[in-house]
Amino acid sequence: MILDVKKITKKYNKLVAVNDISLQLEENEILGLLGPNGAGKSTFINMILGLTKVDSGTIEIFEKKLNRIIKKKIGYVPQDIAVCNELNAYDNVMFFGKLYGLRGDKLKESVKKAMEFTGLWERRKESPKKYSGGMKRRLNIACAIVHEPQLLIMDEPTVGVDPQSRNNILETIKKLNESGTTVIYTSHYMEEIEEICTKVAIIDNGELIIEGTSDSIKNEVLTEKLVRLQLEDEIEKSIELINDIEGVISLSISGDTVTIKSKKEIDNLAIIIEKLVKANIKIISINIEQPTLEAAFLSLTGKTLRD
Amino acid sequence: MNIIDIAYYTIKRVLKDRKSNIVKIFVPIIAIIILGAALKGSFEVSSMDIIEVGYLNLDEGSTGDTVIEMLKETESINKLIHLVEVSSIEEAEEMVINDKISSFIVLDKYFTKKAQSEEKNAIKIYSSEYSDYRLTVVQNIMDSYANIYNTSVAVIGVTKNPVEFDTTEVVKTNSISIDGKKPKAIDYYAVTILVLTLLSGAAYGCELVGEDYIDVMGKRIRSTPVNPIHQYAGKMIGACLSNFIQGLVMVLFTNYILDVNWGSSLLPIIGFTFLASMFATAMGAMFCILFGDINRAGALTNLLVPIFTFIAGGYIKIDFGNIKYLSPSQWAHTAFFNTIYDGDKNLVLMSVLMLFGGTLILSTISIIAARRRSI
Repeated sequence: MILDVKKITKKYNKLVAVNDISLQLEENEILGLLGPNGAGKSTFINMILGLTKVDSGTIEIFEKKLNRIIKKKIGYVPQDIAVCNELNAYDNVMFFGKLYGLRGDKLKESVKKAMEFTGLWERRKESPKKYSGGMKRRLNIACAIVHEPQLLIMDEPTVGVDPQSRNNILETIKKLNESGTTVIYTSHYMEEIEEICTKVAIIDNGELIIEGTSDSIKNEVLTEKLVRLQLEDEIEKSIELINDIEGVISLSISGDTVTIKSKKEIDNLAIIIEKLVKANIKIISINIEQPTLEAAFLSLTGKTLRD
Repeated sequence: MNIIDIAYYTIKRVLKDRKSNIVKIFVPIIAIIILGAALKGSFEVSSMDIIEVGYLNLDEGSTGDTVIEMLKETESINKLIHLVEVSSIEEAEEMVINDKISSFIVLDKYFTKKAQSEEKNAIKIYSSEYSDYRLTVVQNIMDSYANIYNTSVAVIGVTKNPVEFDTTEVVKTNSISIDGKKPKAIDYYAVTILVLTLLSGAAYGCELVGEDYIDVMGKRIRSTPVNPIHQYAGKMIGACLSNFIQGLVMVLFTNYILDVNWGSSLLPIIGFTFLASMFATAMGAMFCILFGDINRAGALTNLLVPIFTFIAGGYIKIDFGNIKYLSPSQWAHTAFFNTIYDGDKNLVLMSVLMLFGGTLILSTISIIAARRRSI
């Protein structure tokens, strides 16, 4: 097991930042930590990294308590870009390589590998000041992976970057994971979590609300499904026809579109279409809304991630 | 090994900032040139007035009269002091208080007897508690005279013959600089501005050490396997050396280009420059760690350094009495000036100990505070 967190709690005076959280992470997983601002994600990460004292509970990484040897196996990408603007990109990565104990040819090779991996090798001599936001983020990652960590902790690594750079960063994470790196990843962006994470943990008000795969969470949390029908005319008539069908919970109209909320376990779409066709109501389009983590999050916490 | 790495990259970061370095080195040099030229007149040596000195001869024999007569008749002494007879110690004290005489000398009633029996004998000098350079002049004359007097007594004791000595050489004027250069305004301001610049280097300690303990960079470094003490030491060494390098450039530039007098050897000057850099860096780092805020610590440093400089006479030579010894600038000034002008070695040693001890105390406080902040 890479990470074994047992009942950890952290309080700041009366504020409980992290409350009795337990979490396990197996090798080669990508854990997505989801939660709104102030949920306790950063405190949780800081406790894993040994930057914040744990009030109660235990944390074991690689089946041991955190020490300097264990720290060599961990890479950390902070949310803010933490590089020296006075040094060029190469020296920045070199500096962190040395802090992790790399020396000589091994250091040079590792720096080159990390910079090539993040697509910065060609522009290694430039100051980070001259880099775009996305390139700075990639340099932030290069500094964290230069020592080829077994566990990489990334705190919102895509904040403020353009879609192309974001895709680039996500691809980098996938490649790192394929090469054997276990990743803990926090983000505000559900689609990122859904795209790359093999396991998701939702934290709110310092508590772990749910954990599992993206699909298992959606299945467990979401009890309803949505179908949107765009109709040519006779909207009122269609409402009367659909309202009595088994499983339908509610209906709403917006322009020429009827939104049907039904119980997830009852498959009633075929019946709905059949009734409308028989009544000569022309259907222009059918949109079946897939369950999302966003919806699951909303259902669990009563708020969106950006609240 | 991490200490060296952190120190190396700290220096590299500072030296890469060329614009800032040029400003930090050449603005003080320009200040030295301007102050040296503008206040040149204040440092020119003017002739000294003749010093009024009282004397009270209580000697029951004749040697006392001879001594006073010789003092009065020695031309080189007469150029410096004028002897005024007083009738009692009380009268002499009153005259000193009223500034009619700067000091007075007393020959006791056994002066002749002591001279004949080769007993230790001395001319006692009394002065005000707040005496100035005039007392030093009188003391030096009396010491010189006593040496000659004692020598002649010793020669008489051995040869039984009277001895003559050349009274014209009793007083000889020498420059106070050991290499023969007379102090100029630029020499004074080179020292005071150098010390001001070095102490202003507290900002390095504040910013560079502070970012490791407060900023996100520090958080990131603490997540690495680096020992926090190594992290602190590496940053301190880097910040200190960065400050020192700038001071060294100032010393070398003023020495070789502006012909500033740094004494007979640059080695002790470079040593004091390093010591002052260490102290300043430790001070800045301590403020930052105690406050937990780079800006507040920087503001305090910017406030304190000019105050230290002012009370040590770094801008204008004003004597603040004993208060000045609270200023690290004063410690550094004392070390520099007493070395350049071959002054009191004990004062140099004391100043070095103050700077070194201060650095140790400030660093210890920083390390304890830093440990309490971290887990």
